[in-house]
Amino acid sequence: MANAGLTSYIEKNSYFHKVNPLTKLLILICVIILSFTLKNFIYILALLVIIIPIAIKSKVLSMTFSPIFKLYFMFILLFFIQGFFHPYATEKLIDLPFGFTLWKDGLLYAAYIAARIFVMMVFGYWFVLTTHPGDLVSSLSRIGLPHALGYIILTTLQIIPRFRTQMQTIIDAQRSRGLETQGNLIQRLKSFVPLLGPLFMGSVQQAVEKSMALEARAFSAKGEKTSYRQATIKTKDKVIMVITVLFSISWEVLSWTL
Amino acid sequence: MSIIQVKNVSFEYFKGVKVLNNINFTLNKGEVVAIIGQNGSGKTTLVKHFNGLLRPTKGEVLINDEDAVKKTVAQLSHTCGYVFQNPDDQIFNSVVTAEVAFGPSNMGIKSHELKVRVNEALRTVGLYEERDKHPLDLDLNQKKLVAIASIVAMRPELIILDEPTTGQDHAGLLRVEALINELRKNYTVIIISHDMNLVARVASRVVMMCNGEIIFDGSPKEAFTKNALMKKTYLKPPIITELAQSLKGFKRDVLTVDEFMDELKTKLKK
Ligand SMILES: Nc1ncnc2c1ncn2[C@@H]1O[C@H](COP(=O)(O)OP(=O)(O)OP(=O)(O)O)[C@@H](O)[C@H]1O
Ligand SMILES: [Mg+2]
Repeated sequence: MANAGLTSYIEKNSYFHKVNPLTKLLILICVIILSFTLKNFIYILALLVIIIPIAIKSKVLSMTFSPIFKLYFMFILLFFIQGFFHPYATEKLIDLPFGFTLWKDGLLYAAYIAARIFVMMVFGYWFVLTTHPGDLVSSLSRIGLPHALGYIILTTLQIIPRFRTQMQTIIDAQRSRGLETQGNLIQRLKSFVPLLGPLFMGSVQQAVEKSMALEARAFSAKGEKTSYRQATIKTKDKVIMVITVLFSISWEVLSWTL
Repeated sequence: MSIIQVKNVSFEYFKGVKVLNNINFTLNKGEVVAIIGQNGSGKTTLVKHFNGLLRPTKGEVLINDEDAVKKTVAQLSHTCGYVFQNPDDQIFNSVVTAEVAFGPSNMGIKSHELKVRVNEALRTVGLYEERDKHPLDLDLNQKKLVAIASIVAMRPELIILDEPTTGQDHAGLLRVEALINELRKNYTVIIISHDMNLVARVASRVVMMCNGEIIFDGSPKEAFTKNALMKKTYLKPPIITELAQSLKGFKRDVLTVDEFMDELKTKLKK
């Protein structure tokens, strides 16, 4: 994998890859606030109209939307549960046999939640795809994020793909000794210990070694820390930030007044 | 009698990137085959096809004349035992015997027979005295031997050792060499190794890989005289072979110090 070791970040030479992580973070935060406060789900979904050109300009359009489609089942379930069993439903849509009723406000509520999840995930994924974790942490450090905390964020992000490859090796090793990892529930439960045992021991060992390797390189030294990756805030960042804030405020006002 | 036949096998982890390219290879009973080649040349990828961990993108793998595609890894492990490079990736029991019993118990081997197999495997690798210890209290050499024993206890026909000597001290090295010589009495053996001295001393056949292709397949003596091929995949023959090759009139396929001394003695007599 070309990006193994670093979250889902995809190295590309695009306009938005070069935008400062803090700018992109501001966009993400505004979207999150908007999706919780906008009056109606149509206004939330309309935000997708904005992400499409942005994702195209970031050269990650299909990847931005791919994870959300894997969740289609969750969305179906959401509409099903809220549609039939919404606790405060008052407005009937259709009466079905066996005493089931499809509620209009239940469906609307589901649409509201779905739109929220959809928009936040799409923007969140776009953010992760275009932002190098190292740049993000170094930018955050410069506006006051504690050094150690930044490091924790960074290693957590990096550890996920590591875990994945490690897990695959362990699965292969135990399958070579005749372990069935597929099949019925009991078989799967039985394979729990052989698979998680080595993973757990391995991570403890790695954590100990990692901390010593860090200390050996003056991680806890006092004083100012510098950073190899540096993202500066340029004029275009300021422009994007201003547009983002202005747009968010007006969109919010519009949704409540119209 | 062939255990494994690999026919025109190609393999890609990602579309368009061939890690194995049209491999043909036949493994016969009783051989000790060393697969050598630089990092990333495809050695591990090739042997993972023998127990079904990987399936060919093209071509076929026959295990005892049956198509491997039709069998699960668990079924194939009865025939092909593959010992992973890092023992920490598999050890999860708190006693050595339990760890070694894991494989055969997955095969459905029961009480008495299971004990017999575990003890025999531990004796074979020389860990019988350590049988009641916690595997994580053992040193790296011994942990590696636990991993090997856990495959030996399954009594496959073929035992594959992936880099059995990496990270081992000299004592560990000697033990692995002795172990391979013990295993060859009852099993067909494949070793993957970067240690040319080990290869020269134990292999009956050498397979040289480079960029996903087999560029040489023959005896160790022949392999170490193919200097151009060796260079292509960044290998160096054992020092003693190089020394003999650089001396005028010496045989070019000397593999061990003993052979070198014999050669020297005959030269001195003349
Ligand atoms: N799980 C995997 N996913 C993707 N690519 C892989 C994977 N495993 C190996 N490769 C790639 O396949 C190629 C061959 O790897 P392989 O592990 O077979 O080499 P090797 O000859 O065993 O090397 P080494 O001596 O380092 O063990 C390498 O380029 C490697 O990066
Ligand atoms: Mg390998």
